[in-house]
Amino acid sequence: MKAVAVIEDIREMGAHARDMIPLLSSVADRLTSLELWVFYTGTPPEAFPCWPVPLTAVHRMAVAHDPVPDQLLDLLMRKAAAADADLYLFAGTDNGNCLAARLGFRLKAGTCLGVESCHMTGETTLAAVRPVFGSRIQARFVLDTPPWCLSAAQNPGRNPAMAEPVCPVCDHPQPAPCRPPWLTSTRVIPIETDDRLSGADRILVLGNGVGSQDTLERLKPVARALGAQMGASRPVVMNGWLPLDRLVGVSGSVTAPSVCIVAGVSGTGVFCAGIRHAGFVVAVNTDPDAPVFRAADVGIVDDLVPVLLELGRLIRGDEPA
Amino acid sequence: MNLTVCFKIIPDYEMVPVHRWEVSGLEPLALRFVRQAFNCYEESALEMALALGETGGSARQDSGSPASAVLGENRVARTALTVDDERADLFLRHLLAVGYDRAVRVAPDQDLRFFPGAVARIIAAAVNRFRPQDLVILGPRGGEGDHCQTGPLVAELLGWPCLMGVSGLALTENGLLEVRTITDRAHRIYTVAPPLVLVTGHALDFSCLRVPTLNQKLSARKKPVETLLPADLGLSVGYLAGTDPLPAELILPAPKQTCTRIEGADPREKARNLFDRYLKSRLVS
Ligand SMILES: Cc1cc2nc3c(=O)[nH]c(=O)nc-3n(C[C@H](O)[C@H](O)[C@H](O)COP(=O)(O)OP(=O)(O)OC[C@H]3O[C@@H](n4cnc5c(N)ncnc54)[C@H](O)[C@@H]3O)c2cc1C
Ligand SMILES: Nc1ncnc2c1ncn2[C@@H]1O[C@H](COP(=O)(O)O)[C@@H](O)[C@H]1O
Repeated sequence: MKAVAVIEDIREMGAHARDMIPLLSSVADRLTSLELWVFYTGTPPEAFPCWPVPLTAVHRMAVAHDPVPDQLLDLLMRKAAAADADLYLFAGTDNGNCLAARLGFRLKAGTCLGVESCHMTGETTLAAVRPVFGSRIQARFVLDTPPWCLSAAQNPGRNPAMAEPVCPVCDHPQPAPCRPPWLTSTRVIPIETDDRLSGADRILVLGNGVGSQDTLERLKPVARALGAQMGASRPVVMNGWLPLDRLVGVSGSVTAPSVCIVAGVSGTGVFCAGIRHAGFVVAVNTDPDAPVFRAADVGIVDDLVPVLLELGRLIRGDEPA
Repeated sequence: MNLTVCFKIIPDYEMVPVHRWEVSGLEPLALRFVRQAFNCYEESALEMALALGETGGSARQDSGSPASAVLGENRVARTALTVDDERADLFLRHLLAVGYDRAVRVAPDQDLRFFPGAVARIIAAAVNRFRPQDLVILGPRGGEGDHCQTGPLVAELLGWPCLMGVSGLALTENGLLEVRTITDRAHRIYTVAPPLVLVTGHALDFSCLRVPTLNQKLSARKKPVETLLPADLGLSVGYLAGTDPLPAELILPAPKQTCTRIEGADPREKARNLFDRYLKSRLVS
């Protein structure tokens, strides 16, 4: 089986490879070749992630700065027509999903996005497991006859090591056209972010139950005392109480801390998908029936504010107030 | 500017604990009768479309004023579209009340929750029927199957470009559109010429859909929810014959160990018990 891993955003190459590696590992014994296709801007990348099987080739494709998926798609389609691979693998980001779905459509491929695990079930059939029904449960999809287009669910943990490839590195001759006619201008305003959530060992996640930005500010020292990163549920970032890179769940970060305290979060499936790799989970909620308790090892039914403030004091070893 | 927003109401999954779900074929029986709700990303999409072209820019407005009260050329005609059964009508009425000009439901003759390709074909055919259309707006994920592909597929079928992660929209002079997108790394502002498919993301300015006033509700009763069959859009049963891979089975999660409740006379004692019995040893490193 011929596989291609597509890195659509060079800045995220390590994280995207990390997400794809479990899927490639589970079909590794069937792979006859594994190519890496990398879109990049500026200087061509020299080092690439290490994969479960050695790369057969790296293809570097220069593109305009900050391309939209439409700018990559024609190039991708031309390369796919020439490569005739069985499996095209993308990261499960917005743009990765967009490319996988549209390439899948054009290639008439079996397409499945946000895949958590996969395996070959026959000579030419692939089974892919991914969440359905608001991430409450999973479904196993059977994809007949290649080609297949998959995108990978987030896989928390360390990025793979980077190395200079021993395989051939091919450069795509012409860069993709700068800008499609429908796109008059693009302006990019970077957001400072530190990407500490997916690799964090301890996380304190606050939900809508925190009630206000002021309360949230009062709880930041508790996170510091715990040595924990702050995480948030959707309403907390939608209210602007914490920045977007703090969002935990299918739409944000999937985390794998050894200790995770979740307070004032109801615990829907889409949120819990972000903490299911956590080691020890503590839930604090005023509602004894909150679904979050089903995802926790221990739970406290109470107001999160006095509980967390006291916890902060205990960790710091303060005298009782 | 004519636009269509696609939405699919979903069951409130949390009303029934997963261990009570009983999977029958591809149907978790427990969900058939639970309350339905808008998906929050689609609420953002629906609200964003209402705010587009409203006097005063894209800021949110009093729910009192009709959304279509806009100036001359900037008039925005909004259609809400869902592919669903009659349970969606209540939600379509809500949308008529808050300012959607048309509410359309395509009633499929079979369960399409695991056929994103078929749903996309119906949406594309409906948009072609509603022509001229400039924008189709969808959510990133939903429709119970959580396929994450309906928007991009609609773009392919219409032959239109597609932007993901949309957080805001504004009309510019000369008929162009400003589309804002957001990721945790950057804001991007694109100036684009429609037609276009937009998939919403974290639309921080449009976190929920406005609520209709009583008057709006009453006047919406006079407006029809239009119901179409796939056949009305020229789609035969063959529209299902795509490449949608079918799920072979639904997999319930392994039952999780039960959660131990930490008791105590007051919140502080509970915190102490948590710390002494469970956290102290885990925090030593
Ligand atoms: C397609 C899709 C994707 C989504 N992706 C994500 C995602 O990735 N991440 C995410 O977070 N959400 C996501 N959501 C939204 C998700 O469904 C929920 O709406 C959201 O997680 C709810 O956040 P919450 O639990 O903080 O708020 P609420 O539902 O408002 O719950 C607040 C909780 O706090 C408790 N509480 C209130 N006061 C206190 C107090 N003083 N002390 C202790 N507890 C208190 C309440 O009992 C309640 O359980 C997604 C939704 C959709 C449709
Ligand atoms: N049956 C449907 N009717 C209308 N819109 C839908 C339907 N199913 C999905 N969508 C739209 O497509 C988006 C993505 O859904 P999905 O590809 O199923 O994850 C949703 O957020 C909706 O906006």
